[in-house]
Amino acid sequence: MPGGARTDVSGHGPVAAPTPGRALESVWICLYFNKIEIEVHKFSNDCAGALVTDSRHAPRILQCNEPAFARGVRFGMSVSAALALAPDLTMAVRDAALERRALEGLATWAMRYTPAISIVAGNALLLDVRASLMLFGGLPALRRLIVADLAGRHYRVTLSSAPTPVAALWLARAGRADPADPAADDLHPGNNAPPAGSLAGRLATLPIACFGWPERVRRTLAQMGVETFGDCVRLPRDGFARRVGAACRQELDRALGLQPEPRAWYRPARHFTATLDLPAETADAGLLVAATRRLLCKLDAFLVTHQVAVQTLWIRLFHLGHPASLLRIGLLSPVTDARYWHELIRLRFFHHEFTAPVHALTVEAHATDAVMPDGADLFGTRPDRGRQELGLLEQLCVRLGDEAVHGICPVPEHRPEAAWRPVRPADRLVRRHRDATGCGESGMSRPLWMLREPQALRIVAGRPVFRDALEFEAGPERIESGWWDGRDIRRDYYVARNGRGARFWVFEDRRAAGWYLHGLFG
Amino acid sequence: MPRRHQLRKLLQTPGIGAAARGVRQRRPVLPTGFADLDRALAGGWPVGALIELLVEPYGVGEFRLLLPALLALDGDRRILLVAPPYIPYAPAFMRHGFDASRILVVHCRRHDDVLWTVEQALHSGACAAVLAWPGAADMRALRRLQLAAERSDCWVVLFRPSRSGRQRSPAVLRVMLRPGGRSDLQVRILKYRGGRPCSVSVDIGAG
Repeated sequence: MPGGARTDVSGHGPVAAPTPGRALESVWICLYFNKIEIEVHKFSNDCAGALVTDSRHAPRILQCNEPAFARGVRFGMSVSAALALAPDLTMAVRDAALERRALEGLATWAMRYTPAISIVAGNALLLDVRASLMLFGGLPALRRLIVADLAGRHYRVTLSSAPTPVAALWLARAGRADPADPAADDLHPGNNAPPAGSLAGRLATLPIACFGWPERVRRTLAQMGVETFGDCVRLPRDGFARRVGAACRQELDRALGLQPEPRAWYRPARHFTATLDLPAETADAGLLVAATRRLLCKLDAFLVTHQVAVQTLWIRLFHLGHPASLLRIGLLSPVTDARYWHELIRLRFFHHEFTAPVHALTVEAHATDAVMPDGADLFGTRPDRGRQELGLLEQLCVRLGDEAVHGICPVPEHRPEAAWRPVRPADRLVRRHRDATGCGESGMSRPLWMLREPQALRIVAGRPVFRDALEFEAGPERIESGWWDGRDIRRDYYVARNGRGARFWVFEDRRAAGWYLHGLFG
Repeated sequence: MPRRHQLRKLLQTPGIGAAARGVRQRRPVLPTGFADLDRALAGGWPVGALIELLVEPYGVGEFRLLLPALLALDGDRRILLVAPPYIPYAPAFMRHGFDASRILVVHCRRHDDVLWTVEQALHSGACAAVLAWPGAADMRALRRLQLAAERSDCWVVLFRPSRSGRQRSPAVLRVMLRPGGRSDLQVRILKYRGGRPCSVSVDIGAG
């Protein structure tokens, strides 16, 4: 340790702990699940349950739930003794993978409060909530919200908050849930005691046991008569580092916020899958839509907590005795709101022919990159035009098919049938085809409507006839082009008009003699 | 005097209409681009109301009659062509000064798909104009469209064959088109809610 860092960290010294209330102060919330090892096994509340060591002979009790405790089951007891006390004791071996999954589930859940979450030591979550405080109305409101949210889950939790992650974790381990509780800090009154509200003051009385340091370190400190955080920081820095280890000294600094502490953030899975088993087989579209909606609620939660969007949804319908059918519903742009799919799924299901009754269905989606929420104006009054348009296009595509909806775009080309092409409807949103360069520079007019294929005309007395005898108004205009791709044409185009006033674009094919109708002036 | 005041109040009640000036003025209109027709329609094509153009055969100039109004549609919203009998030819639209990228073509295999598409487009608010060729449509379907149109700010035109002129219709405006002289179009207003039936000859020019 450099000599310059040798400072008395007692609150009034030159490196006083950060005081709460500063504008850019970090705020960390620690959720400490101290019973998660046993809670993941979901023993019911009224029957005795216990975790046991997985040693082959003489397994022992590691932890037990309250009903078991009430009947006298204790830590370290042999299983046979525990069974004598509680014959109906349910036992489980500690399952690290299960605990990790449970904690990841909790971390994913906590993402609704902040995206910056790190998982610590297998039983705690650290939430960097500084950026979320404004949204949730301040720290006390956020704490209340988290506690209320957690009440519905079967985990006991100690919640603490502090300006540094290590401090939050240690306070939680010590069970100091309430930062405003000054009682704990009054235990060591003295001249150089840090102010009760400050971080150093709150940490001062923490017992060494909650730091999670190795047993050897704890024993050394206990022999020195060092029992609390306050005792540790009062010791000379270099001496402490030499005897106990530089890492421990560094951790004390991190707890006080004197050293930065980069953390690895939890990254949740990007793939969403949810399955629902139906109570009975059905091919009724209405029931299946309702079932899918339940899965979409889960998708909605997934999208909110992961802050991601989804563009394509896969719905797998499982039939008995038939291969599963797969429905794909794609959107033109990713959406962050699962409610958006409801109508599309309804349309799709009501137009789907179910091969067999469905007994289960799965909704799968892969998250695309996080996107900004759908734009709306400040007061939410002006509808978002782009979103409205996409919504309409998606509805049309889902019911009528992807090919049924298209935009049109001119193509610089002399052959009339090649002078335009259909474009994907959403393309306009990316790029506009405003330029009309090169298409039909000749002075002749072009009809607003074209036939898909030129339609052959009858010839009566040497003149083409379409419903009536045609009378030429303008022409001919020779169009001769396309030798390079095998679809070359040589045609004389005329503007013609029949006796009922309709005007047509007709041509005489000069290669294979014949008259054709190609367009209407409408 | 107080009685006239009462009458005025009565006329302002929603749901009560009269073939009077006040009613016409309140309806938003889109200028047709033809002075005679504007006069006959009290300002222009009604917006947010169902319009039926009865044409037979297609191609007499019905689209060129609508073109000035289509060009005048402001904003960036889409122009939806639902089940057009032919391909809208992009170079010709561009030549008329029209932004072809605003056009969206929807092909439908069934009649009820056409009406459904029109209704969705009206509900979505994403279209400035919806032009549809529904073929057959019964009174009930048309009434649905009329109600949807009233709630939208969209210009809705249905092209229908002349023979459906005999059918009853909830459309606000029904117009029969017949070719006149060389570049003339005979526009017969069969029905205009709040207006009078009349006939106008419009020179739509050579397309």
